Order: sequence, then C-alpha cells, then structure tokens
Amino acid sequence: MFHRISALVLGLAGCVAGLWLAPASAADSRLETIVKRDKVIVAVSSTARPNGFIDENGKLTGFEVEFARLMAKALVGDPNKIELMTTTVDGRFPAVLSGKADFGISTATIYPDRAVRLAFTRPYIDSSTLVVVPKGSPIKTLADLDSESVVLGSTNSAAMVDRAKLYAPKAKAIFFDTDSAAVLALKSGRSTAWQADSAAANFFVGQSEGAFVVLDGSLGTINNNAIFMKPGDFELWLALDTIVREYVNGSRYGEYAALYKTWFGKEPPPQRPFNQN
Amino acid sequence: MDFAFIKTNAPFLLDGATMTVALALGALIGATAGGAVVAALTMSRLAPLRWLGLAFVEVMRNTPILVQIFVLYFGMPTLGLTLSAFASAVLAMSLQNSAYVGEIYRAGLESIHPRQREAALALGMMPGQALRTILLPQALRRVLPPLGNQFIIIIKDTSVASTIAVAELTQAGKLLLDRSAAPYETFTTVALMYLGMSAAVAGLLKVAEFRFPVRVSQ
Repeated sequence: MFHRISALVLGLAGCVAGLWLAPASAADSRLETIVKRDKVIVAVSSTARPNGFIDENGKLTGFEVEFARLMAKALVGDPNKIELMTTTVDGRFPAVLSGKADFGISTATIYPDRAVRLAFTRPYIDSSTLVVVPKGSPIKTLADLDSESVVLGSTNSAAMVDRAKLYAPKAKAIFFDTDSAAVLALKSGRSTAWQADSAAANFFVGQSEGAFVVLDGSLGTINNNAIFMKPGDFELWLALDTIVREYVNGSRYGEYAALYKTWFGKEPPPQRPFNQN
Repeated sequence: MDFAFIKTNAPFLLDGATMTVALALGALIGATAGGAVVAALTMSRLAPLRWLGLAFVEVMRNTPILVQIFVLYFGMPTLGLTLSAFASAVLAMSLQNSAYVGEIYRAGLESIHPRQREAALALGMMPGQALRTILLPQALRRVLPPLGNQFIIIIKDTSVASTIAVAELTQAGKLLLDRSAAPYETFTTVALMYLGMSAAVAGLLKVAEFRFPVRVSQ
C-alpha cells in the first residue's frame, strides 16, 4: 500500500516538475514561431455570448472571435490563418501558460493579482458589470440586491466573487463554470439575479423579447479587458500590444469600429488623439 | 513552483475539500444503501421487480453524471421540486452509484456457489437466515475490492458538483486559478488533496480486506 502511494506521489511530482521545467528551454520568441507557422493559435470562449459562442449555424463567432481574426490578419496577413482553441473560463490561462495557445482573447479582465503571472496587452475593450433580473422582479435597483431573499448567480471568476461579497453580502451567491449555466439558473428560477459582463448581459436581454431586464447602473468599476499571454516574451507582447493599439485608436480604427458596431449596435469610444493616450 | 503561494492559499482550498468530503460521504452512504435496494430488485424472483431494477441500472449507468446532475438541479424545479445544489449533487451521485454498487453486490452474491444455499436450507435454515449467516458474510468480503474502486470513483466524481455551483474543491481550485493565474501551484495542491482523500479510503478498505480475508473453501 505504502509503495503504491509513494509511486503515485512520485509520478505526480514528475508531472509537475515536467510542467515547471518546460518553459525554461523556450528562448526564442513565439512571434517567430507564429510567423514561420503562418497561423496563430488563439484561446477563445465558446460559451460567452456575444464575445465567443457557437451561432445557429454551428459557427464559432462573436466579438472576441472576430477580433482574434483581426489579430491574425495583422500578424500573418490573413484573418483565416487562425486556429481557435475554445476553453472555459478556468481553462483560458492554462491554455496560454502551457504554450498550447499563442495568446488568449477571452473576456479576461486585467487584474493586479493576475498580472504577476500573466502578461496583458493594453485593453481592447472596457467592460462593466450589469445585473439582469426577470421582468417584474421585486429587485428594482442594484441596492435591492443586498437582501437574504436574493440568489445572485454568476460565473466562477475572482471579480464576480468579489463583487457579490461587496455589493450583496446578505444575498446568497452561486457560481457556475460558464455564462450559459448561469443563464440557465436565471431562466429556471435557481437564481433571482445574474451579474454579468456588460456585453453578455445586454446581448442576453436583447434576445429575451422583454422577459428579462437590466438594472440601471453598473456593479462596481469599469474594467479593462485585454489579450493575455505567457509572460517573458517581450517581442510577442510588443507586437500584440502595438497591434491592439492600432485597432482601438490607430491606423486600423475603422475595422475595429465596424466590428464593435456589428456586435454591440453602437459606436465604440472615439478614436483618441495621439497625445491623449 | 511558488510554495509560498500554496501555503497562503491552502486554507481556501481546504474549505473546498471539506465540502468535497461532505459530498462524498453523502453519496457513499446513499450508494451503499441504494445499491442494496438495487441488488434486491435485480435478484428478485418477481419479474416486474427484476425488470424495474434492470431498467434503473441501465438508465443510471448509461447516462453521464453531468446530465443527471443538470436534470435534477435545473429540470426538477419545473416539476415543482426544488432541491438545493448540494442535495441535487448528492442525490445524482447516489442514484448513479447505486446502480454500480447494486451490480457489485449482485456479482458478489452470485459468486457464492448455489449449493451453499441449498445446503443451508437442507440443514433447516430459513431462506433469510441462510442469506444473513452463510451467503452475505462471504459475499461482502468478495465485494470489498470492487467497492473500494467505486468509492474512489465517487470521491473524484464530486468535482462535477462544481458545475451546479457547489463550492467544492475543484470549484475552489478554479476560482483560485482565475484570481491568480497560477495553474500549476493550484492544481498540484488540488490533486494532492484528492489523492489524500482517495488514499484514505483505499487504506481503510485495505484494512477491512485484511481484517476479513476471503477464504477459498468451496
């Protein structure tokens, strides 16, 4: 018995050591690999409408998926030279840290704790957190959330957990692996309110034919969503950061604005002059 | 590996592990008791009861635990029955594992030569007495190893409960990973915690096997 357990522990330690040592040998920039491969591999979500989801025709699309294609267009000259790697919320960071994906675009908020182990580009979009309730719900304002009768559903992310504790400490908070499951909880009455990324909340309410409404105001501060990658690769980071800048307020702003309007039905923040970045 | 990170966050993961133990214990008790009912049904002489038992085993074994948990958690409220997330998870795991454990019991009982029962009856024992004193003690020893396997599967299956918002070990691990972007540290610790729990159950069953060895004397 003891031998068996020791063997297991040793095996596990071996796996961990392998994972740990692997990054040390990668000296070249991944940017060269991408250019040589002539294709980018991007981690995206497939369960977060409208950012990344499978549409009625079975096609993976959404604002972030299409933005990933714009990144591919800039990096290798063709928006279709891309391999989209779908992950859940908890699989997105390991996808880039393990080297399986070149970088990720998956509603990742820049978060100080995360910046220690991940590299972020500048944000490609800002987002806020909105709360969705069924039409006719007794919850009329964000202040009503802090009540023992409220069941606040959301995805299992650090920012969501912190907000639930801060703004609705008396409410029962429940956390799901995906936005889809959190939506299902709201629809089935398992939760009485759903806190979600503004894009996801607006999109869901827009499609619900009046069955659900968004409460006025946003929960907490404005967040910055950015492309994330494995830290330590300055060349790749600089390229990605520069490309993002060119899209959100530089030479490619037109393409970004068109994409933004397609998915959110409104104009993005205006292109900023060079000295106000 | 950042060991300080593990040390700082171990208490948070331990809270999740406590929930995992509660889920596993609930499902273990449910499956052990439910398995007995399933075995009684599938070995019944009454055909309708036997069919009922067999149908239950096939449905439970042939559908994924995730689907069963979703049906209980999201589907039942539409029928007016609202179970908590914890209860839904324990019930789903108990039901599915009842099917497996029931089959383990049946295999154990059927492995005892039928002549032993006949001999017991010939000696004047009542059928229930023969089952209790002759067949079950032997069968229980034989089912300990496969039962141990099943119990370990139950412990690992508890991770599925995170999908319906039960704050167990895997969910705690996912949340910690999301906050810190430290997958190796987080999941190594999580894996070691699962390993500890499974090893504890495996160890207890080994002790039981040692204490009640199978005697081959047919």
